[in-house]
Amino acid sequence: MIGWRPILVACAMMQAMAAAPALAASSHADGVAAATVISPLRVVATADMDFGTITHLPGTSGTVTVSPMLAGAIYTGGAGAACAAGACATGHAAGFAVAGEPQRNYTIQLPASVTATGSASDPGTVAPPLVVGSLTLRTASGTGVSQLDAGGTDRFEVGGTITLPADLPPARYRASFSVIVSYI
Amino acid sequence: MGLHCALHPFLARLAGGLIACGCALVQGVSPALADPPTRLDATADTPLTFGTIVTSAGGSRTVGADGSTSDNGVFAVGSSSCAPAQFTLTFSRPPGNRTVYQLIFLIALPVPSGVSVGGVQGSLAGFTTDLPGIAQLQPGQAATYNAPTCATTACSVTFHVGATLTVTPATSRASLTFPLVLQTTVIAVLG
Repeated sequence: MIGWRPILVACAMMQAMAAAPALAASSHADGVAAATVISPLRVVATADMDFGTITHLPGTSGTVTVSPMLAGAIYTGGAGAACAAGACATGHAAGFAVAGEPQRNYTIQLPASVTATGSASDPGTVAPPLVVGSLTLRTASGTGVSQLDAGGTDRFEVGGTITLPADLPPARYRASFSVIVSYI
Repeated sequence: MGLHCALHPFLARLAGGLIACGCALVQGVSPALADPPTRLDATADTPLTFGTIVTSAGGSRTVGADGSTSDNGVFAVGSSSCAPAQFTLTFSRPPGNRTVYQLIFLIALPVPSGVSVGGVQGSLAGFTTDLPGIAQLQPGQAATYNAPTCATTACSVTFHVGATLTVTPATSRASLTFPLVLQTTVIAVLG
């Protein structure tokens, strides 16, 4: 009984001695963590989409189209400008300014169509809602991938076509729509 | 007492065997004291990368030790990739030593300090690893890792470290870099 305890203690001490050299083994590694944070995209409306002042022939429908990067409007059917060129405001596309990370590509999302609500000029007359469709887009950076320039800016315009039903009462129409810009 | 007396011869043989084993262990390791010493090398193989992100009101991105990512208030931009840091610990001992052994490491990361670049402030927290038993690594606190048994001259352990990056919004491009200094020590060699 008295013989094995000292033996085991001695064995444990020897094992501790065997492990001792490793206690001094230390090291370190210089790693890094990295991230790049860029400024968010900002978009500001610089001009409303404006179809101008329109008239149309009684009993005849028509359309008015404004195109991006083009001044004026194109009329079809019974629609036409209410006044001669220069006599009143001409139609134009909506304009937007974009700012963000220089040289970075981005995308623009537009709604498929916009519904404009009207306020009839004559009391008691109901102005039916009008649909602005066929929205078209063009950026200053080109027709391909939208890209911010070296200064981190770009601009784009949005055009569309408004359809006028026959016998539309005199009214003033307004609509709002959202555009979404995202880095890609 | 009678029982102890009856076992004594067996225990004596067992103890004798342990002595022989212990002596063999000492003989197997002792040359390291005079010849080539044991050595521990820690290397940073790849950085912890959070990629390119954008935030309008501040947010955070977490890159897990397994490479997974999750965002809160930030958005990834482009095809920039995220990856956890990779470290390798290599323990070397004198050639010819064939004893099967197991290493116990202490692993620690210092408390990270925040960085500020171009008005963007960033900080790291929530370190994680894929080392078994060390899912989380508290900065400034050492964690113990029991490596698998090894019988070769050099044994290495490769693992990954993830973290959560918290940033404020940027008004211009800001490249944030944080030192990630891994400190490690072998505290025991079990053989």
